[in-house]
Amino acid sequence: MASIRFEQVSKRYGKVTAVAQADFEVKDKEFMVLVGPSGCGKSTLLRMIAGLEDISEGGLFIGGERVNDLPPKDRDIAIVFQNYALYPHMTVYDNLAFGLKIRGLKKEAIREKVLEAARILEIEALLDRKPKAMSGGQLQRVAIGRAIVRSPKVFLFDEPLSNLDAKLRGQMRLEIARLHKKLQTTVVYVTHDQVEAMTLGDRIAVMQQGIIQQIDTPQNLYRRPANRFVAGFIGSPPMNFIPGAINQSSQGFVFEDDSLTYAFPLPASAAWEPHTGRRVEMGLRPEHFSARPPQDGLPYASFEVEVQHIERLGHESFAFAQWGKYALAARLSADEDLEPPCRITLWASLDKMHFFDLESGRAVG
Amino acid sequence: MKAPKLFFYILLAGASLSFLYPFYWMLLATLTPEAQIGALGFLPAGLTMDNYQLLADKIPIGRALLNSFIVAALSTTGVLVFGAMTGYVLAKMRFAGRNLLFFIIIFTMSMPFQLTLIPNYILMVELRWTDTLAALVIPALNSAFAILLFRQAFQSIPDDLIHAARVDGCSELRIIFQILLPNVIPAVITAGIITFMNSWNDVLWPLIVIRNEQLMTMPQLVALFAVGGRSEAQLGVKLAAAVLLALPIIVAYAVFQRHFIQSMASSGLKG
Repeated sequence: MASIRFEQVSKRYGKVTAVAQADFEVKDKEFMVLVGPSGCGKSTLLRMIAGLEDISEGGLFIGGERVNDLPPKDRDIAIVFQNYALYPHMTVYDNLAFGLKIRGLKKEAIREKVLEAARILEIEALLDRKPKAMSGGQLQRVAIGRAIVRSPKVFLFDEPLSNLDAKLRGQMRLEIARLHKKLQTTVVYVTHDQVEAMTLGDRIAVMQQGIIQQIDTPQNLYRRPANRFVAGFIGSPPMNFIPGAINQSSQGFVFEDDSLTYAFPLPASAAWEPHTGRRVEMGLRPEHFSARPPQDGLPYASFEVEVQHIERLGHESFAFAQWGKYALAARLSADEDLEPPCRITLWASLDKMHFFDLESGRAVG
Repeated sequence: MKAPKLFFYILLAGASLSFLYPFYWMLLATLTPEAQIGALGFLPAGLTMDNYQLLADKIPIGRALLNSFIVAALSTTGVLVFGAMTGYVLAKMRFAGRNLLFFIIIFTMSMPFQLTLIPNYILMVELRWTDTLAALVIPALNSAFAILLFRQAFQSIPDDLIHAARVDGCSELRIIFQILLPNVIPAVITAGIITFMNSWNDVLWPLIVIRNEQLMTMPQLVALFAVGGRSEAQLGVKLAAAVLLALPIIVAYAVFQRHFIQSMASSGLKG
């Protein structure tokens, strides 16, 4: 078991910086998810842990040992790839046993370990099959089996569920979580799927353009996004953003939208002071709207909107509406019987509003 | 069967016969006494092994067969091993000048062998390799064609397979020979068959570097025998030599028929 520490780690390809000064630690036994859009550097970061990419700058430590120059085989890690990367010409048994054979284990010991891994993943019946005779879900199990059979210090997952259909993805997600609990190994898991990130990670690192934007628990990322990118990335449909400015009025600080049509009072706080007069964006998640006024007595805002389209999911609905010149998405109860186009009033608690500096994107308030 | 189809089959049968008949006749002639060959038709006219016996008495044909096997087998092994290694480097490793190197290798394919004949011969003389099998084997240990074939085949293999092997503890050589080659069997067979055939059929280069009859390869010895006067204008003996020359390739073809056709089709080249 081991922790992984990045000390100012950068990766450059010529003039392009793929990862810029990553500086964080994955604790022992922690499940860390690296999430971000395509090309944000998350896979590069993972491959640097595996030793499949050189580190241009900085230090990488696994279990306290600097591993920058250690080849992949000496890092005691295992990796599960998106396309499984099973050896096509070998049976499942041989795929699982291959790494152990190279490490010089005795035949009996190999057999024991392979059968144990196969039992954990319930792939005993597949041991004589070759990869081409298996389904995506089975291939993914075998790929995970190949990783756990060596009992490595660290598991790395590189978008392992991307090639599976939605139902299987949900199933495998649960299995990976169960496996982590059982094996108690440090895991670094790369995905672009925020549902995977939120459900699996003890902590999540959100990346964009090679820079880690925020590392925190799923709840904190959702509740207190550090910047506009994180706020927009976590949540589906994404957070609504309304550009405007923070101004001071006789009643205190208010947020006024760009068209100066709407103004919302802000909670009394000295934190607004430095941002007075600055352009900001107000962010409000679709799920924080309601079609009825909140009953909790907290201050709220109302939005007169024109609903243009509604997506009914059975247990809930998403309304896509126009509020003045802004498009808004709102999650509503399935009981709201709306026939778009129609005009309704949406309500949202003021304390659910987030504010981000328009220039830097950082959260304010 | 419809009439046009029947016509088509008759046409095909006729064409096949026109190809096969000379082979049949050649084989039959070697088994016929010299005096009867002139009047030979479809049917055998007296069976004899004299032509083969005479051939074996006149030239070291068994030795030549062995030499040809040694040279073709070693060259083919070399081409598969070194071609795969070079192909892997060109397909999967990143270094400055990689593409330039590849283009130079491709360029050598467009140069006729005759162009490098003299420099190569001088090199062999300098290395004192003339009249040794080394002169036949060592220059043939790698080929641009095999490099191209392996490079293309390896490029189609996802990098992650190689990464997985690296994490599993494979060295680069093990990656090439235990992970990649088993997954590009068609390329291995294509390169193998074409190299073996080229080496087996080569006459010009052995004629240049080998003088010692004991070291000659089959085609070289047969060519010298047939045109060099030692066959004493006996058609049956000449043909017996030709049969022995063609036989291994015919046997190989019978065994690897499917792969032969595939390799010719996939390489776009004729051996």
